[in-house]
Order: sequence, then C-alpha cells, then structure tokens
Amino acid sequence: MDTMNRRNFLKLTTAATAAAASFSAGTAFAKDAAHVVVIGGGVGGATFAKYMKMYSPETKVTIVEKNKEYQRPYGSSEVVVGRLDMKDITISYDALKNKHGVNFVFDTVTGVDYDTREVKTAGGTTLKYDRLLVSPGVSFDYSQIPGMDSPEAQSKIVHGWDAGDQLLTLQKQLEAVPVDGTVVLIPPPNPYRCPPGPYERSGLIAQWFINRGDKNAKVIILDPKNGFTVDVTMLQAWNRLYEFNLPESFKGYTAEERATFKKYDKPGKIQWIPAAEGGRVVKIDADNKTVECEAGVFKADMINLIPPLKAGKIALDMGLADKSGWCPVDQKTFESTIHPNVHVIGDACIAGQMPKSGYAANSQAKVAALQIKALLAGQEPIEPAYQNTCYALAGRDDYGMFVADFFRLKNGVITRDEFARYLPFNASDAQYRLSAVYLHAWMNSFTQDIFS
Amino acid sequence: MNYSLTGILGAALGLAFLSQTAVAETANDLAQSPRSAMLAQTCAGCHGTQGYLQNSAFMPLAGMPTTQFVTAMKSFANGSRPSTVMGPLAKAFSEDEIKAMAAYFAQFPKNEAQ
Amino acid sequence: MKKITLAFLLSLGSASLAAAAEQNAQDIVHWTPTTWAEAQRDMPKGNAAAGEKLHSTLFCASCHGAKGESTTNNWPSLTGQSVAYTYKQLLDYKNHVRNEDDRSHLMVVVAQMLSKQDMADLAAFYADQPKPCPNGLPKPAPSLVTVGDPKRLITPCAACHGANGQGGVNETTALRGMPRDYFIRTMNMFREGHRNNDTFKGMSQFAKPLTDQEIAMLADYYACTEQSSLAPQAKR
Ligand SMILES: Cc1cc2nc3c(=O)[nH]c(=O)nc-3n(C[C@H](O)[C@H](O)[C@H](O)COP(=O)(O)OP(=O)(O)OC[C@H]3O[C@@H](n4cnc5c(N)ncnc54)[C@H](O)[C@@H]3O)c2cc1C
Repeated sequence: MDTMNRRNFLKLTTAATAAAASFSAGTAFAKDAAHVVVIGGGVGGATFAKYMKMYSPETKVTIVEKNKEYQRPYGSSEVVVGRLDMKDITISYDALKNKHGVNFVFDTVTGVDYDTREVKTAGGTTLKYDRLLVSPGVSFDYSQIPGMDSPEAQSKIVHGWDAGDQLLTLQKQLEAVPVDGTVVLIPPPNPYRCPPGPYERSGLIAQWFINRGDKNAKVIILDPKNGFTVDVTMLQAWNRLYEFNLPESFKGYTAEERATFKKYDKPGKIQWIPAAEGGRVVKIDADNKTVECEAGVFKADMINLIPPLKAGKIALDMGLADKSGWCPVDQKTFESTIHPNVHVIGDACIAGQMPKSGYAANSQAKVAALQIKALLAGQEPIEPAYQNTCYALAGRDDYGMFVADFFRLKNGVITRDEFARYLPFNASDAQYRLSAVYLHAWMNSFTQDIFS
Repeated sequence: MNYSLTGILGAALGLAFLSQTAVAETANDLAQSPRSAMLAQTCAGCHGTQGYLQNSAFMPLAGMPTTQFVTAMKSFANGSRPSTVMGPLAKAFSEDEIKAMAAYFAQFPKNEAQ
Repeated sequence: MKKITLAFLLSLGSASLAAAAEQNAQDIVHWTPTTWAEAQRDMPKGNAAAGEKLHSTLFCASCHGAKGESTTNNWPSLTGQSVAYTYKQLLDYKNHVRNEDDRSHLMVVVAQMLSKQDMADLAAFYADQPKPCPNGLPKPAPSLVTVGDPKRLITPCAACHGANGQGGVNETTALRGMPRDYFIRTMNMFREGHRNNDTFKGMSQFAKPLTDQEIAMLADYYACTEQSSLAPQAKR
C-alpha cells in the first residue's frame, strides 16, 4: 500500500510540474494540463467534477456518462407510488457543462488500459487521463436466488433500485394489485445502496393502499437481515400508522420502549419477517408470483425483489473489485488499492463504516477532489472528513426521520463518530413533521449541490 | 513633542498595526485552508455549495458572520437551542473545527436571494 | 402537547399534510378588516410560560434563536413583536394565507400543529422578551421613514411601524432589529406579490414603488448592526 502510493506520488509530481509549466505559458487547457477522467455522471461523479473544477479550475475534467440526462435514484420510490413523475427525478447536465466547465462524453465506457492510462468507450473514443475517478454505482446479482436467473423472470419481477423505466413498471404493477391484495418486498443483504430505502418504499406502498381506500391490502417484507438503519424509528412509526406488530425477535428496543408498542390481533398493513423468523428467501416463482422463504410460502399480487448488489459492472470489468464484489480503496484518498492512479467512490467502493448512500457518495466525491488536487500538485493528501445524513419517510409524507453521521479516518478506516444518530425514541410530532419537511428540502438542496 | 514619546507611540502604533494584520492573515488563512474546506463541504449536501441556498427550509451559510456560526453550533451541541438534525451533528466537531468552518463560510459574500 | 399528539396519531387516514399544504389558491380566504377584527376579539388570552415551552418543543429555536431573538440574518426576529402580529402570522400560516416560498412552507407545516391557544401563548412569550436593538435605531432616520414620499404615494414607514420601529398598535411588524436579509427578502416578496397577507394591502402598495437601493438602505437602518462585520466583500 504505502510503497505503491509513494510510487504514484512520484509519477504525479512530474506530471504536475509539467502541467504547472504549461499554465504559466498562459493557456487554460494546455496540452499537458492535468486531465481527470470521470466514469459515471451520477451523484459521485457529478459532485466530484463540479468540486474538482471549483477547487482547481486549471484541471481538465471529463465525465464519461452513458445517459444524456441523469435520473436520480434517491427519492425515486416516490415515483412508484405516483407522488413524483419521471421528469421530477430527471436532471440536466447543462450547469456542469456551461457553468462549471466540465467536459462530457456521452458514451459507455468499455475498458481501460492502465499502462497507457487510457479509457475506451463503446463509440470508439479514447481518453488519456492523469487520474481516473470511477463512480459507476451498482449492479445486481441474481445468481443466488433460485427462480430468478432467467431474463423473463427478471423482466417480470423488477427492483427499481437504479431509477429508469423499472420505476414505471413497479408503478403499473402496484396499480394492478387488486383490492385487499398483497405486495411482497424483498430487501437485499448488506451492504447495499440506501439502507433505509426498502423499508421507506414498503411504508410508501402501505400508505398508497390507505389513500386508495383499501383497508386490507398489505406489504410483507421478507428480509435476509434482522435490522436496518433507522429501524428503531421506522418500526415505531409503523406500529402507530400501519397496525404493525413488532417481531418478537427484534432486539433494538429496551423493555420499556417495547412496552409502549401496541399489539394488534391480526397482521397489519405492514408485516416484517426478519431472518431470525425465517424471512430469508429460498426460491421465487415469477410466473405464479409466489415466494418461498424459510418461514413458508407467500402468494403475492406483486413482488419487488431488490437482489444482492455489487459494484457497477464496469468496475468489475476493470478489475477494481475484490472477492466481495466491491472496490477496496485507500480510504483517505479513495485511490484503488488494486490499480494506482484510479480512484473509486460512491456505492461501488468500500468506505469503512460509511453507508452506500447519495449523501455518502457526495461527501466522498468532495474528499476525493481535495485529495486529487493535492496529489496532482505533488502534495500530501490532507486529513479527511466525511458525513452522511439520510432522511426517510415512514410512509405518510408528513412523518419523517433521519440518520446523521460524521466520520473520521481512524487507523486507515472511515469510522463513525459516536453520538446519537437517530431521532430519540420519545421524539415529538414536531420532530417527525419537520424531518419530513427537511427531507423534501434536502432533495432540492442536495440536487443543487451536485448538478447546479 | 518629546522625541522618546513619539518613539514609544510609534512603536505602539506599529505593534497594534502588526498584530491586526496578523489577526487578519490568520482569519484569511483559516478561510482558505483546505482543511476548512474539507470540514465545511460536509455541510453542503443540505446547506448548499459554499453555503449558498436560494429558497430553502435550510439555513444558507454563505457570508454568515463567524460569531453567529460558532454560537449556533455550540448551542445546538449543548442543547440550549433545540433542533432536529443539528444537535447530533454539532456534537461531532471540536471547537477548532467549528471555527475553521465558520471562517470558510464567512469568506463568501451573501447573495441577494438569501 | 398531549392533545396534539393524539390528534396527530388519530389523523391516520386523513389527507396528508403536504397535500394540505398545497391547497388551491382559490380556497384560501384572505382577511377583511372585519374578519380580522373578529379574530382579534376571539383571540384567547396568552400564557407566556406555556409559549416558552412550545417555543422549545416545536423547535422554533432551531431557526429563530434560543428565545426568538434571531441570531442569524436569514430568519426574522420574533422578540419584540406584538401579540397581535405573531398571532396573526401564525393564523395566516395555518390557513395558507401566508405561504410565499419554501421557507414559509415550513411554517405552514408547523402551524398545522397549533391551536389558537398555542398561538396566543407563543405570541405572549415573544412579546415578553427584551426588545432587540436596545440602544435604539441609528440617527437621523431616513426621510422615507419619517416623511415617506408623497409624490409616489408612499406613507412614512413610521406611520404604521412606529417612530422607533417598535411596531404599531395593531398587527404591524416591529422592524427594529429585523435581520437585514429577511427584511430585503420580505420587501421583494411584497413588491412581487408573492406575499400578500397584509390585511389592508398597505405593505403591498407601498413596497411596489421602492427601488432596490431604498430597500437595502431601509434594511440597514432597521437591522441595527454594524454591516461591515456581516458581509465581507470577497469575490465568490
Ligand atoms: C429508492 C432509492 C432511494 C434512495 N434515497 C436516498 C436518500 O434519500 N438519500 C441518499 O443519500 N441516498 C439515497 N439513495 C442512494 C443514492 O441514490 C445512491 O447511493 C447514489 O446514487 C450513489 O451514487 P453513485 O455515484 O455511486 O452511483 P449513481 O448515482 O448510480 O451513478 C452512476 C452513474 O454511472 C453511469 N455509468 C455506469 N456505468 C457506466 C459506464 N460503463 N459508462 C458510462 N457511464 C456509466 C450511470 O449511468 C450513472 O449515471 C437512494 C437510492 C434508491 C434506489
């Protein structure tokens, strides 16, 4: 690790000196100006490009992105329940291009030559980089779920976990659920993109049923896990809002807290079957919409399976991932520990205790921008700082919650500062309502921080 | 005027001048330091790039006087100013870190829309 | 607070708040001098101690300062406002009469949780706090404040907002110590018609002919702070 970094460091020092020489000659992007190529114009890549230009206007930054516009996954479950349209989650790259001077190549990256430091695209473009930043998001792994390995099965049962048309498929499937129907939602095992996301979506669907006047329709969550981020706030909310019975096996509450939960005679609008109670799915029949888990067989009117996740396909193809399917990096600079001069951020990287979230990808991008600026100038990277604040809805759009974390690098690992990170158990209505207002405010200010 | 008095006065004035520029310089250095940017940019996911926000439920931080920033963070952290998210987050930062972020945001002019 | 909690939890199937907050413009009932006079007559007697508690449990302090003294430039100062002013603004938020942007939207949401008694209590609490700007406004006052501009039919600010910016007898805002940015924003909102909850349409009318420079000058005058420390002139 150490030796590799030092080696890069030397290489870069020479590159930076050359770059500096050409700037003094007065050309903005002289032939030898440092060039940082970015794969993926999502949360991580776009934030990085904007901040890199802000911190280092003389550096040339080029994003290679396969789509002309970005569809944000964050907040996209609101499309499934019809609270938002696709156009509401579609974002233009114009400001990055015109206001911040970021170059764009709209094409799919197909490979890289690490020796010549060249990125290649499907359309035949070759881009030479001094530093490469990779933020390709996630890919989906169906191999471990019997019944789901055919393209037909995957077209009938979709995840909607990467924006795109699958959101509209889910919306249509939801509308087709008959009165008193059942939706089975299957969250992925850890680690995955947006830890509270599958549960927020479950709540949104339960609320959607209520709004259409459906008294008995329900969401059943079959989970390979026994807990999740914001679980203590979310489960309490569901108990209040959706006749949710707390599973016996759940360990997140004290006895007194548990005693405040209501008990309902029959299963409510949301049921959560954690791994400890047999929630782990063993087989799915996509044609008959049945799910078999350790606890038994469930017949559904709609199934939303979010399969296990891995780093985006291009990161796997580029050999940036380890056995886990995610990309190991030096957590101070996000430089790959496998390939020098290449940085991986966002969902695809292994970032210590940081979750795979938009806020995290955005925070990592800014750290990477400052560090890459230092590295290009032949300086030591500085002490990093990272944050993650994720808001979620219980279902009803006036009942919000959050997790707030600040992280530091400790012994090379991104480590969470210990302090209360959720709303307190006895939070007031005002706190839930304000959190919901802040959630919606965040969707705007966050998008602006990345794309405006 | 007595020669020595002028000398003393001059020296005193010089000192005062020196220490003032020193203060200004450290404030400026702090605002420009990459470490301040490193810390402050973690706020931008909600509070806008460099603290700029137009029309938002969140507080814009660009151009906020340093004393306001420091007081706010301390009172969020010790709970004297009840908050939703800021209470927990404010606890994460040391006094020096709060000052560094304050200097960072204070260096930017506010915009009209704030 | 208990009462609110229960109502909140019982409102399960009710239309959601965000939807309620997007009420149609035609459903919003604006004040007439008569309805506002009635509302004031019906206002419950406020209890400042209860108001102080609400101030903290509803997180007012989060934006408006520990006691409502507005320690920032962006949100209005609540201390020094008359009972009638605060009560009316809270009613206006609750009834969507005041909902000019995403900032006030937050108040629309908060106000849904308030009963008239709560509003009166909060109003009593803020009215009880020490007035901002204890040394008074700068002298001399700008002529727009003292004589207005008869040529443009602008009434002097002091006529309604008091010779010392302390607010009028009725529901007019106390301007003394009002944060500069909030002042400017508000005047722009009145000028452009986004904010229109003034019962007699006075502010809407007088704001229209004011220039940006005049608004900025009035903002400086009422803000009562050394502006130099507030707005450093670095280039972005
Ligand atoms: C339902 C849902 C709700 C969420 N809610 C929140 C939330 O409230 N808060 C939060 O913080 N996060 C949330 N997230 C998570 C957040 O969206 C992701 O963590 C974030 O988008 C990750 O950023 P990224 O840059 O790693 O990947 P992405 O944003 O997915 O960007 C990857 C980009 O790379 C491009 N790309 C990939 N491969 C190639 C290639 N070969 N060539 C060219 N381009 C390529 C893609 O087109 C894409 O634009 C949510 C996610 C979901 C699914």
